[in-house]
Amino acid sequence: MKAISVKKILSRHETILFIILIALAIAGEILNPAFLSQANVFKTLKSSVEMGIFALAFLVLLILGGIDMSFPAIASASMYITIKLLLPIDGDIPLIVPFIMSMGLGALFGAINGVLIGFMGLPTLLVTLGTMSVIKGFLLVFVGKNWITQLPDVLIRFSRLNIFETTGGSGEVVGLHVSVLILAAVAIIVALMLRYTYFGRRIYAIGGNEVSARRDGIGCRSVKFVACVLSGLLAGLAGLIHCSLVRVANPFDILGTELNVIAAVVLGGASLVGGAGTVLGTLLGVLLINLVNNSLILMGIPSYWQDFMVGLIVILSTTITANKTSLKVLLKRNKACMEVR
Amino acid sequence: MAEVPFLEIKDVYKNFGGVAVLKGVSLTLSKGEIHCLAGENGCGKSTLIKIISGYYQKDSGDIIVEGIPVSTMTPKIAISRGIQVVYQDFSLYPSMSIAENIVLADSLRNKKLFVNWSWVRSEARKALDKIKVDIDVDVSAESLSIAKKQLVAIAKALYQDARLVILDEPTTSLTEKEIDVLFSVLKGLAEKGVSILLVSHKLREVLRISQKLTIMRNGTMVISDDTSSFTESSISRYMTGRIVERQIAGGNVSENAAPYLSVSHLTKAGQFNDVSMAFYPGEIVGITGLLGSGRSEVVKAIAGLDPFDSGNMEIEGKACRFRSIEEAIKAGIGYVTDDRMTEGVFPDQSVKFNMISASLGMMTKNFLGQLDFCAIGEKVASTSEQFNIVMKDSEAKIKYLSGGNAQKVMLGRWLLANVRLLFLNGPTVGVDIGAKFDIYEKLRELNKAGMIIVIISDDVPELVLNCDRVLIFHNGSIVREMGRNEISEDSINTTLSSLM
Repeated sequence: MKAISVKKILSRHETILFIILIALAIAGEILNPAFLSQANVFKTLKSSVEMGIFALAFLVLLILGGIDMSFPAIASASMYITIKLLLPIDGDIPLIVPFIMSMGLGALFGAINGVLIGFMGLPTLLVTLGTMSVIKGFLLVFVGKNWITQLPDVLIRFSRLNIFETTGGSGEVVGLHVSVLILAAVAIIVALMLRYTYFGRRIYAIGGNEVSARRDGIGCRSVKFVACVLSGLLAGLAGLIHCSLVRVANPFDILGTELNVIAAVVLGGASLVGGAGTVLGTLLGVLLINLVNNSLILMGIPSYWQDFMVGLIVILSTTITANKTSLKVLLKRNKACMEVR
Repeated sequence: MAEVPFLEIKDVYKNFGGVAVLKGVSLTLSKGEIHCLAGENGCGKSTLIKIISGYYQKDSGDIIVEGIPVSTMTPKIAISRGIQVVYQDFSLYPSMSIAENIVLADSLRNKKLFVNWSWVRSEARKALDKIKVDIDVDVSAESLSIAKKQLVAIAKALYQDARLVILDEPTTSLTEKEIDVLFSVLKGLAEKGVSILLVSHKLREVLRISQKLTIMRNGTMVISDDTSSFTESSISRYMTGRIVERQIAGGNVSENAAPYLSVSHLTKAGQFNDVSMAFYPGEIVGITGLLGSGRSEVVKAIAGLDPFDSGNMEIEGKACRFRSIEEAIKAGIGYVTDDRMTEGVFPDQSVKFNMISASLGMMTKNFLGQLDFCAIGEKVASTSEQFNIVMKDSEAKIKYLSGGNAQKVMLGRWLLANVRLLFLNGPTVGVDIGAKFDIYEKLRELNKAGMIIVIISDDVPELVLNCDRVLIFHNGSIVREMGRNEISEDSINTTLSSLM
């Protein structure tokens, strides 16, 4: 019994990712001793927060069977509108207010997706490509296109909120930012939801076999709607954290990061046709992508190579998952032929 | 007083786009009874089970569950009354565990919020124990064999308090041994008072397991009685139906003519073996055999759809071999599929386009390949008239045509392509009875005009009615050839049942 469970753990996608992650870290450390320094680890974690939350938002819709292209636009718009609304307000506002605003706006944009995908039954990829463009256009035309470099005080306070601090190799102070805790909390909530609530299981069911789900009386429409709202809410959260960490509200800089997120989720073992995927795998995928990018920077390789590597990772991990399944099907077919004979 | 039956169906009618699929079907299912619903493809049996499970709505008639009439049946009501369908695809979630597959649907209906995984596993194990099946509940559904998937689907149905389990063609892809397991599970359920409705067209299985047998043909119930009062040949006779009247088929065969097409020693591993046959001008030939006899595969190989391993083909004495359908058509050989909607027509295209699609190359007016729309319009109009195709106009999409009319468009397509020999696989599958005879008449007209017709069919009366000669396939070879004097329903049925 024990031997079987060890084998099971070893054959899990997450385990393989973890081993690759460790190997990469060791290789990085050998090439550059600064790699595993506390400062660099903190930096990598901090830069993983935004991508991690985006990846979880993307994961929920991917398990449902849809590829969401609108989360960068939702994040940009929610963040930018929140900042614009907060700027005229003087004085102290509680830290929670901008978060509630941005997440609320994200949920609202997500609800637009939800109506189109859930209640009208339209394909996620096309709907979100559409809403991406609409939201982006709306933002730039009606809200503004300027960089806001003077953020509201409350966000600057947030950006300085470290759990603890340490001095880096070159003497600068590096801290473990509190947003790492936010990512952890979001990850735990999403993981519990997906694994231990019937709402989460409905998401897997619909992504796995929508026809069966309908026959079983699962309310596909409302599940899809709620999932879209949730995904939008997470995008709004990630957008705000992003702008606070880079200390500028830029309506453009999140747009175009979607490939990194998709790469992380796919690398994390989620199925591109739905029905499978885990939070742990996704987080490992995010860390791996960040580690690759980070080590490329440390090695002094031009940043264009990051695009190259990320694209390669998407193609490779898709190929591997696709071949895994087709290999399985082939084996099964062979077996069936043998049985008939 | 007798016990109230679990389910009564009374005089149910159902139309689809003007085609009557069910014409007054009645059925009674007692508690704990294993009842078999048999009939050929397209007889309406799958429509009937979809009406019972609430997937379709009946046009008229009554559905009575345990003495209480249900005016509108929906999937939800059906499930709440204990009616469960085990579909041919089993309706499982591939990447989920067996445990979850069994328990999920029921827990969802109970509006539960949180998943207790150890409870889910133990519930699933209990459900599998009830049907005495031992499957690891932690593996994913996609890793199971088809037989085990089916058992899981049955366990899932029972877990939702099924009182009636409907199984749609449950034995299609099972081995003998797996069928034994399935049947013992079903018998165990029946002893506990669960009714079983088995939809099947496999005669031997029907006789083995069921207590009652209902046979449907062309949307009506032919007979419903204790299974013990049937024999294999009487079942097949009820299923295929009696002939109206034997018309004189063919009659255009000239003596001593050379064959138009002859094949010899045609072989393809695992499909057919050493098949030799010839088709003569003026003939209407029938080809039949049980499912899996290789008859369709041979024909597809001849018509250039699939390759064959070895053997020779001659057209008018000249050796040939088609590497593609185009070459076959050029040589004068056409093939009409039995799966009209997915393989035959272009559903979203017009009748006109569908009719000329095999002869586009002949419809050009100059060397540039420009289509001659005047000529096309005329040809389509005259062919539509010749075949009596009922439609709004030739620009109507073919998917809106009835099965019979769509099939006539197919005939028109091959007539325009000037083929000399036409293979028709199941020419009247999904075609209602009136249009059936219409199509027979058109086939005979085409035959008189010089086209050799080869009908591949399960429909024995169809063969008797139309063919000059019938070839019977079994296990990939021709086992019997009948001349015109030997062809009768009895002789074909007897030969077929001797092969079962």
